Amino acid sequence: MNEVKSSLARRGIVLIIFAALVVVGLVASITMGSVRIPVGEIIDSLSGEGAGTHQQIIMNIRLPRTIVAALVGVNLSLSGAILQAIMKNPLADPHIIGISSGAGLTGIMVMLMLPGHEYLVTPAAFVGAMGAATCIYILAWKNGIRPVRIILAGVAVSAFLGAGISALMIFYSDKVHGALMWMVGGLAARSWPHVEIIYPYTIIGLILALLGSKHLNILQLGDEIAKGLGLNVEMTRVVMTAIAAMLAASAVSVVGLLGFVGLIVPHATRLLVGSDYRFLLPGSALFGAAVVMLSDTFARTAFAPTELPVGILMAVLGAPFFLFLLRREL
Amino acid sequence: MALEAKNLTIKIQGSTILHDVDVTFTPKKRTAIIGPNGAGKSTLLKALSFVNPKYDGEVLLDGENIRAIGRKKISQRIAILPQSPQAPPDVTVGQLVDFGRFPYRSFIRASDPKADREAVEWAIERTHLVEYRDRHVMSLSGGERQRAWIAMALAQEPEILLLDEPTTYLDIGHQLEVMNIVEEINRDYEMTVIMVLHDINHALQYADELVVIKNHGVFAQGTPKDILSVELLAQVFGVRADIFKNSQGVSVLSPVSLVR
Repeated sequence: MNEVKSSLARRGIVLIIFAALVVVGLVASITMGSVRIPVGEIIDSLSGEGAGTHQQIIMNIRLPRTIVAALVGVNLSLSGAILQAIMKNPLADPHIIGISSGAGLTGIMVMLMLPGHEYLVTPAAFVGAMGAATCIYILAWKNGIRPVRIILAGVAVSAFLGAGISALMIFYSDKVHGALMWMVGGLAARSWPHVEIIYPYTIIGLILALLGSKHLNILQLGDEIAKGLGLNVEMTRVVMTAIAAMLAASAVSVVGLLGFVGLIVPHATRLLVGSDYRFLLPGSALFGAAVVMLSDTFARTAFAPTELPVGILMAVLGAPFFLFLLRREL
Repeated sequence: MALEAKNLTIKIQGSTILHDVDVTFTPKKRTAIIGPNGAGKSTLLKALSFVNPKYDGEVLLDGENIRAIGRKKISQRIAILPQSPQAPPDVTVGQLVDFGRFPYRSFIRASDPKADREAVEWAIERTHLVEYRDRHVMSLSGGERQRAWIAMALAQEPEILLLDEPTTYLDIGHQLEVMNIVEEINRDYEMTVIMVLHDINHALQYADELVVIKNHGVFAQGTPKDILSVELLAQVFGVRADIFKNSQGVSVLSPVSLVR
Protein backbone atom coordinates (compact mmCIF):
# COMPACT_ATOMS: atom_id res chain seq x y z
CA MET A 1 0.00 0.00 0.00
CA ASN A 2 2.88 2.34 0.78
CA GLU A 3 4.16 2.07 -2.76
CA VAL A 4 0.77 3.05 -4.15
CA LYS A 5 0.51 5.98 -1.76
CA SER A 6 4.01 7.16 -2.60
CA SER A 7 3.34 6.92 -6.33
CA LEU A 8 0.12 8.89 -5.84
CA ALA A 9 2.08 11.45 -3.83
CA ARG A 10 4.75 11.58 -6.54
CA ARG A 11 2.17 12.22 -9.24
CA GLY A 12 0.63 14.93 -7.10
CA ILE A 13 4.00 16.59 -6.62
CA VAL A 14 4.78 16.44 -10.35
CA LEU A 15 1.42 18.03 -11.18
CA ILE A 16 2.10 20.79 -8.64
CA ILE A 17 5.54 21.38 -10.17
CA PHE A 18 3.94 21.58 -13.62
CA ALA A 19 1.42 24.10 -12.30
CA ALA A 20 4.30 26.12 -10.82
CA LEU A 21 6.04 25.99 -14.22
CA VAL A 22 2.90 27.42 -15.79
CA VAL A 23 3.10 30.36 -13.39
CA VAL A 24 6.82 30.80 -14.13
CA GLY A 25 6.08 30.69 -17.87
CA LEU A 26 3.32 33.22 -17.48
CA VAL A 27 5.48 35.65 -15.53
CA ALA A 28 8.54 35.19 -17.76
CA SER A 29 6.54 35.62 -20.92
CA ILE A 30 4.92 38.83 -19.68
CA THR A 31 8.00 40.43 -18.14
CA MET A 32 10.66 39.54 -20.72
CA GLY A 33 11.07 41.13 -24.12
CA SER A 34 12.36 44.23 -25.80
CA VAL A 35 10.87 46.19 -22.91
CA ARG A 36 11.51 44.62 -19.51
CA ILE A 37 8.58 44.94 -17.19
CA PRO A 38 8.92 44.54 -13.41
CA VAL A 39 6.90 41.64 -11.98
CA GLY A 40 4.97 43.94 -9.67
CA GLU A 41 3.42 45.80 -12.57
CA ILE A 42 1.74 42.63 -13.83
CA ILE A 43 -0.50 42.54 -10.81
CA ASP A 44 -1.21 46.26 -11.09
CA SER A 45 -2.15 45.88 -14.74
CA LEU A 46 -4.35 42.87 -14.19
CA SER A 47 -6.17 44.57 -11.33
CA GLY A 48 -6.69 47.63 -13.52
CA GLU A 49 -4.47 49.91 -11.48
CA GLY A 50 -1.60 50.05 -13.93
CA ALA A 51 -1.02 52.91 -16.29
CA GLY A 52 1.20 54.03 -19.12
CA THR A 53 3.04 52.13 -21.80
CA HIS A 54 3.80 49.09 -19.61
CA GLN A 55 0.10 48.67 -18.99
CA GLN A 56 -0.49 48.91 -22.75
CA ILE A 57 2.25 46.40 -23.52
CA ILE A 58 0.95 43.93 -20.99
CA MET A 59 -2.72 44.15 -21.85
CA ASN A 60 -2.46 44.45 -25.63
CA ILE A 61 0.65 42.50 -26.52
CA ARG A 62 2.26 40.29 -23.91
CA LEU A 63 -0.76 38.92 -22.02
CA PRO A 64 -2.84 37.84 -25.05
CA ARG A 65 0.22 36.34 -26.74
CA THR A 66 1.05 34.45 -23.55
CA ILE A 67 -2.48 33.14 -23.26
CA VAL A 68 -2.46 32.01 -26.89
CA ALA A 69 0.86 30.23 -26.25
CA ALA A 70 -0.55 28.45 -23.20
CA LEU A 71 -3.77 27.38 -24.95
CA VAL A 72 -1.90 26.18 -28.04
CA GLY A 73 0.39 24.18 -25.75
CA VAL A 74 -2.59 22.61 -24.00
CA ASN A 75 -4.35 21.72 -27.26
CA LEU A 76 -1.35 20.21 -29.04
CA SER A 77 -0.25 18.25 -25.96
CA LEU A 78 -3.71 16.81 -25.32
CA SER A 79 -4.04 15.97 -29.01
CA GLY A 80 -0.71 14.11 -28.97
CA ALA A 81 -1.49 12.29 -25.71
CA ILE A 82 -4.83 11.10 -27.07
CA LEU A 83 -3.35 10.02 -30.41
CA GLN A 84 -0.60 8.06 -28.65
CA ALA A 85 -3.23 6.05 -26.76
CA ILE A 86 -5.59 5.36 -29.63
CA MET A 87 -2.80 4.46 -32.03
CA LYS A 88 -0.79 2.62 -29.38
CA ASN A 89 2.22 4.30 -30.87
CA PRO A 90 4.70 6.52 -29.02
CA LEU A 91 5.47 8.41 -32.22
CA ALA A 92 1.91 9.55 -32.85
CA ASP A 93 1.55 13.32 -32.87
CA PRO A 94 -0.87 15.50 -34.82
CA HIS A 95 2.04 16.94 -36.82
CA ILE A 96 3.68 13.63 -37.67
CA ILE A 97 0.59 11.69 -38.71
CA GLY A 98 -0.77 14.39 -41.00
CA ILE A 99 -3.71 15.89 -39.11
CA SER A 100 -1.88 19.20 -38.85
CA SER A 101 -1.03 19.10 -42.57
CA GLY A 102 -4.72 18.73 -43.35
CA ALA A 103 -5.49 21.75 -41.20
CA GLY A 104 -2.52 23.57 -42.75
CA LEU A 105 -3.51 22.96 -46.36
CA THR A 106 -7.08 24.19 -45.99
CA GLY A 107 -5.95 27.05 -43.74
CA ILE A 108 -3.36 28.24 -46.27
CA MET A 109 -5.87 27.85 -49.10
CA VAL A 110 -8.17 30.31 -47.36
CA MET A 111 -5.29 32.66 -46.53
CA LEU A 112 -3.94 32.77 -50.09
CA MET A 113 -7.04 32.34 -52.21
CA LEU A 114 -9.59 34.25 -50.15
CA PRO A 115 -7.72 37.25 -48.78
CA GLY A 116 -9.85 39.26 -46.42
CA HIS A 117 -11.72 36.22 -45.17
CA GLU A 118 -9.37 35.34 -42.29
CA TYR A 119 -12.33 34.41 -40.08
CA LEU A 120 -12.72 31.32 -42.30
CA VAL A 121 -9.26 30.03 -41.46
CA THR A 122 -10.28 28.16 -38.27
CA PRO A 123 -13.34 26.38 -39.64
CA ALA A 124 -11.40 25.55 -42.81
CA ALA A 125 -8.50 24.19 -40.76
CA PHE A 126 -10.89 22.06 -38.74
CA VAL A 127 -12.46 20.66 -41.90
CA GLY A 128 -8.97 19.93 -43.23
CA ALA A 129 -7.89 18.20 -40.03
CA MET A 130 -11.01 16.04 -39.94
CA GLY A 131 -10.64 15.33 -43.65
CA ALA A 132 -7.04 14.22 -43.16
CA ALA A 133 -8.01 12.10 -40.14
CA THR A 134 -10.84 10.48 -42.13
CA CYS A 135 -8.50 9.81 -45.06
CA ILE A 136 -5.95 8.25 -42.74
CA TYR A 137 -8.65 6.04 -41.22
CA ILE A 138 -10.03 4.91 -44.55
CA LEU A 139 -6.56 4.15 -45.89
CA ALA A 140 -5.58 2.30 -42.72
CA TRP A 141 -8.83 0.34 -42.41
CA LYS A 142 -8.49 -3.30 -43.30
CA ASN A 143 -10.33 -5.65 -40.98
CA GLY A 144 -10.11 -3.09 -38.23
CA ILE A 145 -7.52 -0.50 -37.44
CA ARG A 146 -3.89 -1.36 -36.86
CA PRO A 147 -1.69 1.29 -35.27
CA VAL A 148 1.25 0.80 -37.63
CA ARG A 149 -1.01 1.21 -40.65
CA ILE A 150 -2.34 4.47 -39.21
CA ILE A 151 1.17 5.87 -38.85
CA LEU A 152 2.17 4.83 -42.36
CA ALA A 153 -1.06 6.11 -43.88
CA GLY A 154 -0.50 9.34 -41.93
CA VAL A 155 3.00 9.75 -43.31
CA ALA A 156 1.70 9.25 -46.86
CA VAL A 157 -1.24 11.61 -46.40
CA SER A 158 1.09 14.14 -44.81
CA ALA A 159 3.48 14.01 -47.78
CA PHE A 160 0.57 14.37 -50.20
CA LEU A 161 -0.87 17.38 -48.37
CA GLY A 162 2.60 18.88 -48.02
CA ALA A 163 2.90 18.77 -51.81
CA GLY A 164 -0.41 20.64 -52.01
CA ILE A 165 0.86 23.31 -49.63
CA SER A 166 4.08 23.72 -51.62
CA ALA A 167 2.15 23.99 -54.89
CA LEU A 168 -0.11 26.69 -53.45
CA MET A 169 2.90 28.63 -52.26
CA ILE A 170 4.43 28.55 -55.73
CA PHE A 171 1.21 29.66 -57.45
CA TYR A 172 0.74 32.48 -54.95
CA SER A 173 4.41 33.34 -54.50
CA ASP A 174 3.61 37.07 -54.19
CA LYS A 175 1.64 36.51 -50.98
CA VAL A 176 3.84 33.84 -49.59
CA HIS A 177 5.47 35.59 -46.65
CA GLY A 178 2.52 35.29 -44.27
CA ALA A 179 1.99 31.70 -45.31
CA LEU A 180 5.67 30.95 -44.78
CA MET A 181 5.55 32.15 -41.18
CA TRP A 182 2.45 30.04 -40.74
CA MET A 183 4.21 26.93 -42.09
CA VAL A 184 6.83 27.16 -39.38
CA GLY A 185 4.46 27.95 -36.56
CA GLY A 186 4.86 31.11 -34.58
CA LEU A 187 3.16 33.41 -32.14
CA ALA A 188 4.24 36.79 -33.54
CA ALA A 189 1.44 39.38 -33.35
CA ARG A 190 -1.00 36.96 -31.77
CA SER A 191 -3.55 38.85 -29.72
CA TRP A 192 -7.05 38.80 -28.23
CA PRO A 193 -8.91 37.78 -31.42
CA HIS A 194 -6.74 34.64 -31.49
CA VAL A 195 -7.49 33.95 -27.83
CA GLU A 196 -11.16 34.12 -28.68
CA ILE A 197 -10.73 31.69 -31.54
CA ILE A 198 -8.94 29.01 -29.55
CA TYR A 199 -10.24 29.08 -25.97
CA PRO A 200 -13.64 27.42 -26.53
CA TYR A 201 -11.90 24.47 -28.20
CA THR A 202 -9.45 24.18 -25.33
CA ILE A 203 -12.24 24.06 -22.75
CA ILE A 204 -14.42 21.61 -24.68
CA GLY A 205 -11.46 19.45 -25.69
CA LEU A 206 -10.10 19.29 -22.15
CA ILE A 207 -13.46 18.27 -20.68
CA LEU A 208 -14.09 15.61 -23.34
CA ALA A 209 -10.55 14.25 -23.05
CA LEU A 210 -10.80 13.95 -19.27
CA LEU A 211 -14.18 12.21 -19.58
CA GLY A 212 -12.53 9.75 -21.96
CA SER A 213 -9.49 9.06 -19.79
CA LYS A 214 -10.92 5.80 -18.37
CA HIS A 215 -11.52 4.59 -21.90
CA LEU A 216 -8.01 5.53 -23.00
CA ASN A 217 -6.63 3.56 -20.03
CA ILE A 218 -8.54 0.47 -21.14
CA LEU A 219 -7.44 0.97 -24.75
CA GLN A 220 -3.80 0.79 -23.63
CA LEU A 221 -4.34 -2.86 -22.62
CA GLY A 222 -4.73 -3.82 -26.28
CA ASP A 223 -7.79 -4.31 -28.45
CA GLU A 224 -8.65 -7.82 -27.36
CA ILE A 225 -8.60 -7.10 -23.64
CA ALA A 226 -10.45 -3.82 -24.22
CA LYS A 227 -13.16 -5.59 -26.22
CA GLY A 228 -13.37 -8.30 -23.57
CA LEU A 229 -14.02 -5.59 -20.99
CA GLY A 230 -16.92 -4.32 -23.07
CA LEU A 231 -15.26 -1.27 -24.63
CA ASN A 232 -16.48 -0.37 -28.11
CA VAL A 233 -12.94 -0.09 -29.43
CA GLU A 234 -13.65 1.18 -32.94
CA MET A 235 -16.15 3.77 -31.74
CA THR A 236 -13.78 4.97 -29.01
CA ARG A 237 -11.02 5.41 -31.61
CA VAL A 238 -13.25 7.41 -33.95
CA VAL A 239 -14.60 9.70 -31.22
CA MET A 240 -11.21 10.30 -29.62
CA THR A 241 -9.62 10.95 -33.04
CA ALA A 242 -12.28 13.60 -33.67
CA ILE A 243 -11.44 15.23 -30.33
CA ALA A 244 -7.71 15.12 -31.12
CA ALA A 245 -8.34 16.57 -34.59
CA MET A 246 -10.46 19.38 -33.14
CA LEU A 247 -7.74 20.27 -30.63
CA ALA A 248 -4.99 20.18 -33.26
CA ALA A 249 -7.00 22.11 -35.86
CA SER A 250 -7.84 24.94 -33.47
CA ALA A 251 -4.16 25.24 -32.51
CA VAL A 252 -2.99 25.13 -36.14
CA SER A 253 -5.49 27.76 -37.23
CA VAL A 254 -4.04 30.17 -34.67
CA VAL A 255 -0.29 29.55 -34.78
CA GLY A 256 0.27 27.52 -37.94
CA LEU A 257 2.10 24.24 -38.21
CA LEU A 258 3.78 24.16 -34.83
CA GLY A 259 5.31 20.71 -34.60
CA PHE A 260 6.65 18.36 -31.94
CA VAL A 261 4.77 19.85 -28.96
CA GLY A 262 2.29 16.98 -29.17
CA LEU A 263 5.16 14.51 -29.27
CA ILE A 264 7.54 15.82 -26.61
CA VAL A 265 5.12 16.95 -23.93
CA PRO A 266 2.98 13.81 -23.48
CA HIS A 267 6.13 11.70 -23.54
CA ALA A 268 7.97 13.65 -20.90
CA THR A 269 4.79 13.71 -18.83
CA ARG A 270 4.39 9.96 -19.19
CA LEU A 271 7.92 9.43 -17.88
CA LEU A 272 7.12 11.54 -14.81
CA VAL A 273 3.51 10.70 -13.91
CA GLY A 274 3.07 7.31 -15.57
CA SER A 275 0.60 6.04 -18.14
CA ASP A 276 -2.65 6.51 -16.20
CA TYR A 277 -4.58 8.95 -18.41
CA ARG A 278 -6.47 10.39 -15.45
CA PHE A 279 -3.12 11.97 -14.48
CA LEU A 280 -1.38 11.99 -17.85
CA LEU A 281 -3.95 14.27 -19.51
CA PRO A 282 -4.00 17.05 -16.89
CA GLY A 283 -0.21 16.72 -16.58
CA SER A 284 0.26 17.07 -20.35
CA ALA A 285 -2.08 20.06 -20.45
CA LEU A 286 -0.15 21.91 -17.73
CA PHE A 287 3.28 20.98 -19.03
CA GLY A 288 2.29 21.80 -22.62
CA ALA A 289 1.16 25.27 -21.59
CA ALA A 290 4.43 25.86 -19.71
CA VAL A 291 6.63 24.52 -22.54
CA VAL A 292 5.10 26.68 -25.27
CA MET A 293 5.07 29.84 -23.10
CA LEU A 294 8.71 29.37 -22.07
CA SER A 295 9.84 28.35 -25.57
CA ASP A 296 8.17 31.36 -27.13
CA THR A 297 9.72 33.66 -24.54
CA PHE A 298 13.14 32.22 -25.28
CA ALA A 299 12.62 32.28 -29.06
CA ARG A 300 11.65 35.94 -29.14
CA THR A 301 14.29 37.18 -26.68
CA ALA A 302 17.40 35.05 -27.31
CA PHE A 303 18.28 36.59 -30.68
CA ALA A 304 16.80 40.04 -30.13
CA PRO A 305 16.06 42.13 -32.04
CA THR A 306 15.34 39.24 -34.41
CA GLU A 307 12.33 37.28 -33.25
CA LEU A 308 12.57 33.57 -33.99
CA PRO A 309 9.29 31.72 -34.66
CA VAL A 310 8.73 29.30 -31.78
CA GLY A 311 8.20 26.52 -34.34
CA ILE A 312 11.89 26.63 -35.24
CA LEU A 313 12.88 26.16 -31.60
CA MET A 314 10.39 23.32 -31.16
CA ALA A 315 11.74 21.58 -34.27
CA VAL A 316 15.34 21.99 -33.08
CA LEU A 317 14.41 20.41 -29.74
CA GLY A 318 11.84 17.99 -31.12
CA ALA A 319 13.58 16.32 -34.03
CA PRO A 320 16.43 14.89 -31.90
CA PHE A 321 13.84 13.83 -29.31
CA PHE A 322 11.90 12.04 -32.04
CA LEU A 323 15.06 10.20 -33.11
CA PHE A 324 15.79 9.31 -29.49
CA LEU A 325 12.32 7.76 -29.17
CA LEU A 326 12.71 6.00 -32.49
CA ARG A 327 15.90 4.31 -31.32
CA ARG A 328 14.52 3.45 -27.91
CA GLU A 329 11.03 2.24 -28.81
CA LEU A 330 11.25 0.62 -32.21
CA MET B 1 -25.77 -20.26 -17.33
CA ALA B 2 -25.65 -21.99 -20.64
CA LEU B 3 -23.52 -20.65 -23.43
CA GLU B 4 -24.12 -22.10 -26.87
CA ALA B 5 -23.26 -21.51 -30.49
CA LYS B 6 -25.70 -22.28 -33.28
CA ASN B 7 -24.74 -22.57 -36.97
CA LEU B 8 -21.64 -20.53 -36.17
CA THR B 9 -19.58 -19.76 -39.28
CA ILE B 10 -16.55 -17.51 -39.20
CA LYS B 11 -14.48 -16.40 -42.16
CA ILE B 12 -11.31 -14.40 -41.75
CA GLN B 13 -10.02 -12.71 -44.88
CA GLY B 14 -12.02 -15.02 -47.10
CA SER B 15 -10.89 -18.32 -45.62
CA THR B 16 -13.29 -20.34 -43.52
CA ILE B 17 -12.11 -20.85 -39.94
CA LEU B 18 -15.24 -22.36 -38.45
CA HIS B 19 -18.13 -23.79 -40.46
CA ASP B 20 -21.65 -24.35 -39.17
CA VAL B 21 -20.59 -25.13 -35.62
CA ASP B 22 -23.21 -26.18 -33.08
CA VAL B 23 -21.97 -26.53 -29.54
CA THR B 24 -23.46 -26.15 -26.08
CA PHE B 25 -21.25 -25.69 -23.05
CA THR B 26 -22.54 -27.31 -19.87
CA PRO B 27 -23.15 -24.71 -17.16
CA LYS B 28 -21.03 -24.76 -13.99
CA LYS B 29 -18.58 -27.23 -15.53
CA ARG B 30 -15.02 -26.88 -16.76
CA THR B 31 -14.82 -27.49 -20.48
CA ALA B 32 -11.54 -27.76 -22.38
CA ILE B 33 -11.41 -27.00 -26.09
CA ILE B 34 -8.65 -28.98 -27.78
CA GLY B 35 -7.60 -29.47 -31.36
CA PRO B 36 -4.70 -28.97 -33.76
CA ASN B 37 -3.09 -25.59 -34.42
CA GLY B 38 -5.18 -23.38 -36.67
CA ALA B 39 -8.36 -25.37 -36.03
CA GLY B 40 -10.19 -22.25 -34.86
CA LYS B 41 -10.12 -22.70 -31.08
CA SER B 42 -9.19 -19.08 -30.27
CA THR B 43 -11.56 -17.87 -32.97
CA LEU B 44 -14.38 -19.76 -31.27
CA LEU B 45 -13.59 -18.13 -27.89
CA LYS B 46 -13.57 -14.66 -29.47
CA ALA B 47 -16.99 -15.22 -31.01
CA LEU B 48 -18.40 -16.67 -27.77
CA SER B 49 -17.26 -13.55 -25.88
CA PHE B 50 -18.32 -11.09 -28.61
CA VAL B 51 -14.72 -9.86 -28.87
CA ASN B 52 -15.10 -10.73 -32.54
CA PRO B 53 -18.69 -9.96 -33.58
CA LYS B 54 -18.06 -10.79 -37.25
CA TYR B 55 -19.66 -14.20 -37.47
CA ASP B 56 -22.70 -15.78 -39.08
CA GLY B 57 -25.07 -17.79 -36.93
CA GLU B 58 -25.86 -17.17 -33.32
CA VAL B 59 -24.22 -17.19 -29.92
CA LEU B 60 -26.78 -17.65 -27.18
CA LEU B 61 -26.38 -16.92 -23.47
CA ASP B 62 -29.22 -18.58 -21.57
CA GLY B 63 -31.12 -18.68 -24.83
CA GLU B 64 -30.68 -14.96 -25.51
CA ASN B 65 -28.72 -13.83 -28.60
CA ILE B 66 -25.64 -12.01 -27.29
CA ARG B 67 -25.95 -9.43 -30.06
CA ALA B 68 -29.05 -8.19 -28.25
CA ILE B 69 -27.37 -7.97 -24.83
CA GLY B 70 -24.90 -5.12 -25.31
CA ARG B 71 -21.14 -5.12 -24.90
CA LYS B 72 -20.85 -4.05 -21.29
CA LYS B 73 -23.66 -6.32 -20.12
CA ILE B 74 -21.91 -9.21 -21.87
CA SER B 75 -18.67 -8.31 -20.11
CA GLN B 76 -20.44 -8.41 -16.76
CA ARG B 77 -21.41 -12.02 -17.48
CA ILE B 78 -18.59 -13.36 -19.66
CA ALA B 79 -14.90 -12.66 -19.02
CA ILE B 80 -12.22 -13.60 -21.53
CA LEU B 81 -8.47 -13.77 -21.12
CA PRO B 82 -6.70 -13.80 -24.50
CA GLN B 83 -3.18 -15.09 -25.13
CA SER B 84 -0.14 -13.01 -24.14
CA PRO B 85 -1.87 -9.80 -23.04
CA GLN B 86 0.26 -6.67 -22.57
CA ALA B 87 -0.04 -3.81 -20.08
CA PRO B 88 1.81 -0.47 -19.92
CA PRO B 89 5.00 -0.93 -17.87
CA ASP B 90 3.86 1.08 -14.84
CA VAL B 91 0.49 -0.59 -14.24
CA THR B 92 0.37 -2.32 -10.85
CA VAL B 93 -1.48 -5.55 -10.09
CA GLY B 94 -4.06 -3.59 -8.09
CA GLN B 95 -4.70 -1.19 -10.98
CA LEU B 96 -4.90 -4.02 -13.50
CA VAL B 97 -7.44 -5.92 -11.44
CA ASP B 98 -9.44 -2.71 -11.02
CA PHE B 99 -9.66 -2.44 -14.84
CA GLY B 100 -11.81 -5.59 -14.56
CA ARG B 101 -14.52 -3.34 -13.09
CA PHE B 102 -14.74 -1.33 -16.33
CA PRO B 103 -17.91 -3.13 -17.53
CA TYR B 104 -19.69 -1.72 -14.47
CA ARG B 105 -18.63 1.86 -15.26
CA SER B 106 -20.02 4.16 -17.90
CA PHE B 107 -19.04 7.42 -19.56
CA ILE B 108 -21.12 9.46 -17.15
CA ARG B 109 -22.29 7.24 -14.32
CA ALA B 110 -19.76 6.27 -11.66
CA SER B 111 -19.81 2.71 -10.42
CA ASP B 112 -20.49 1.52 -6.89
CA PRO B 113 -17.09 1.95 -5.17
CA LYS B 114 -17.84 -0.54 -2.42
CA ALA B 115 -18.82 -3.28 -4.87
CA ASP B 116 -15.73 -2.47 -6.94
CA ARG B 117 -13.41 -2.67 -3.94
CA GLU B 118 -14.90 -5.94 -2.74
CA ALA B 119 -14.70 -7.56 -6.18
CA VAL B 120 -11.07 -6.46 -6.62
CA GLU B 121 -10.18 -7.66 -3.09
CA TRP B 122 -11.82 -11.01 -3.72
CA ALA B 123 -10.13 -11.48 -7.10
CA ILE B 124 -6.71 -10.66 -5.65
CA GLU B 125 -7.17 -13.06 -2.76
CA ARG B 126 -8.44 -15.90 -4.92
CA THR B 127 -5.37 -15.63 -7.15
CA HIS B 128 -2.97 -15.44 -4.16
CA LEU B 129 -1.67 -12.03 -5.16
CA VAL B 130 -2.23 -10.08 -1.93
CA GLU B 131 1.46 -9.35 -1.44
CA TYR B 132 1.92 -8.47 -5.14
CA ARG B 133 -0.78 -5.81 -5.24
CA ASP B 134 1.62 -2.87 -5.63
CA ARG B 135 4.08 -4.55 -7.98
CA HIS B 136 4.20 -3.66 -11.66
CA VAL B 137 2.47 -6.34 -13.70
CA MET B 138 5.08 -6.46 -16.43
CA SER B 139 7.88 -6.95 -13.85
CA LEU B 140 6.34 -10.16 -12.48
CA SER B 141 7.33 -13.69 -13.45
CA GLY B 142 5.21 -15.42 -16.07
CA GLY B 143 3.11 -17.34 -13.56
CA GLU B 144 2.45 -14.34 -11.32
CA ARG B 145 1.60 -12.21 -14.32
CA GLN B 146 -0.88 -14.77 -15.63
CA ARG B 147 -2.53 -14.89 -12.19
CA ALA B 148 -2.84 -11.08 -12.28
CA TRP B 149 -4.65 -11.24 -15.63
CA ILE B 150 -6.92 -14.00 -14.30
CA ALA B 151 -7.65 -11.75 -11.31
CA MET B 152 -8.66 -8.97 -13.70
CA ALA B 153 -11.09 -11.36 -15.41
CA LEU B 154 -12.44 -12.48 -12.03
CA ALA B 155 -13.03 -8.87 -10.96
CA GLN B 156 -15.62 -8.74 -13.75
CA GLU B 157 -17.57 -11.21 -11.53
CA PRO B 158 -18.54 -13.21 -14.59
CA GLU B 159 -20.80 -16.23 -14.74
CA ILE B 160 -18.59 -17.65 -17.46
CA LEU B 161 -14.80 -17.47 -17.65
CA LEU B 162 -13.09 -18.02 -21.02
CA LEU B 163 -9.34 -18.70 -21.00
CA ASP B 164 -7.17 -18.96 -24.11
CA GLU B 165 -4.22 -21.21 -23.39
CA PRO B 166 -3.72 -19.93 -19.83
CA THR B 167 -0.65 -22.07 -19.17
CA THR B 168 1.38 -21.46 -22.35
CA TYR B 169 4.97 -20.37 -21.65
CA LEU B 170 4.71 -21.32 -17.95
CA ASP B 171 6.88 -23.88 -16.21
CA ILE B 172 5.21 -27.01 -14.90
CA GLY B 173 4.81 -25.71 -11.33
CA HIS B 174 3.21 -22.44 -12.42
CA GLN B 175 1.02 -24.35 -14.86
CA LEU B 176 -0.45 -26.41 -12.03
CA GLU B 177 -0.81 -23.33 -9.85
CA VAL B 178 -2.88 -21.57 -12.53
CA MET B 179 -4.98 -24.67 -13.19
CA ASN B 180 -5.61 -25.16 -9.47
CA ILE B 181 -6.85 -21.58 -9.14
CA VAL B 182 -9.22 -22.14 -12.05
CA GLU B 183 -10.44 -25.39 -10.51
CA GLU B 184 -11.06 -23.73 -7.11
CA ILE B 185 -13.00 -20.84 -8.63
CA ASN B 186 -15.15 -23.22 -10.61
CA ARG B 187 -15.78 -25.41 -7.57
CA ASP B 188 -16.39 -22.66 -5.00
CA TYR B 189 -18.46 -20.25 -7.11
CA GLU B 190 -19.93 -22.58 -9.75
CA MET B 191 -18.39 -20.37 -12.41
CA THR B 192 -18.54 -21.97 -15.84
CA VAL B 193 -15.03 -22.29 -17.25
CA ILE B 194 -14.31 -22.75 -20.94
CA MET B 195 -10.62 -22.96 -21.75
CA VAL B 196 -8.54 -23.61 -24.83
CA LEU B 197 -5.77 -25.93 -23.72
CA HIS B 198 -2.70 -26.88 -25.67
CA ASP B 199 -1.66 -29.63 -23.29
CA ILE B 200 -4.08 -32.53 -23.60
CA ASN B 201 -2.90 -33.96 -20.28
CA HIS B 202 -4.06 -30.75 -18.60
CA ALA B 203 -7.39 -31.10 -20.31
CA LEU B 204 -7.69 -34.68 -19.07
CA GLN B 205 -6.79 -33.71 -15.54
CA TYR B 206 -8.73 -30.46 -15.15
CA ALA B 207 -11.71 -30.57 -17.49
CA ASP B 208 -15.09 -32.16 -16.89
CA GLU B 209 -15.79 -32.10 -20.60
CA LEU B 210 -13.80 -31.93 -23.80
CA VAL B 211 -14.78 -30.20 -27.03
CA VAL B 212 -12.56 -31.42 -29.85
CA ILE B 213 -12.27 -29.07 -32.84
CA LYS B 214 -11.09 -30.27 -36.21
CA ASN B 215 -11.72 -29.36 -39.87
CA HIS B 216 -13.60 -26.15 -38.99
CA GLY B 217 -16.09 -27.97 -36.78
CA VAL B 218 -16.71 -29.93 -33.60
CA PHE B 219 -15.24 -33.39 -34.06
CA ALA B 220 -16.29 -34.79 -30.68
CA GLN B 221 -17.72 -33.63 -27.37
CA GLY B 222 -18.05 -35.43 -24.06
CA THR B 223 -16.29 -36.36 -20.86
CA PRO B 224 -12.66 -37.41 -21.19
CA LYS B 225 -13.66 -40.90 -20.11
CA ASP B 226 -16.26 -41.20 -22.86
CA ILE B 227 -14.43 -39.77 -25.84
CA LEU B 228 -10.70 -40.13 -25.27
CA SER B 229 -9.29 -42.92 -27.35
CA VAL B 230 -6.20 -43.84 -29.31
CA GLU B 231 -8.28 -43.54 -32.49
CA LEU B 232 -9.43 -40.00 -31.65
CA LEU B 233 -5.86 -38.84 -31.10
CA ALA B 234 -4.78 -40.42 -34.37
CA GLN B 235 -7.64 -38.86 -36.31
CA VAL B 236 -7.43 -35.39 -34.78
CA PHE B 237 -3.72 -34.87 -34.20
CA GLY B 238 -2.21 -37.52 -36.46
CA VAL B 239 -0.36 -38.93 -33.48
CA ARG B 240 -0.13 -42.44 -32.13
CA ALA B 241 -0.19 -42.19 -28.34
CA ASP B 242 -0.23 -44.48 -25.33
CA ILE B 243 -2.96 -43.81 -22.80
CA PHE B 244 -2.52 -44.95 -19.23
CA LYS B 245 -3.65 -44.05 -15.71
CA ASN B 246 -1.48 -42.02 -13.37
CA SER B 247 -1.28 -42.55 -9.58
CA GLN B 248 -4.46 -40.44 -9.14
CA GLY B 249 -6.45 -42.56 -11.56
CA VAL B 250 -6.45 -39.83 -14.20
CA SER B 251 -5.87 -40.82 -17.82
CA VAL B 252 -2.68 -39.40 -19.26
CA LEU B 253 -1.26 -39.76 -22.70
CA SER B 254 2.20 -40.02 -24.04
CA PRO B 255 2.71 -39.45 -27.76
CA VAL B 256 4.76 -42.19 -29.37
CA SER B 257 4.94 -41.43 -33.08
CA LEU B 258 3.30 -39.70 -35.99
CA VAL B 259 0.67 -41.62 -37.90
CA ARG B 260 1.84 -41.89 -41.49
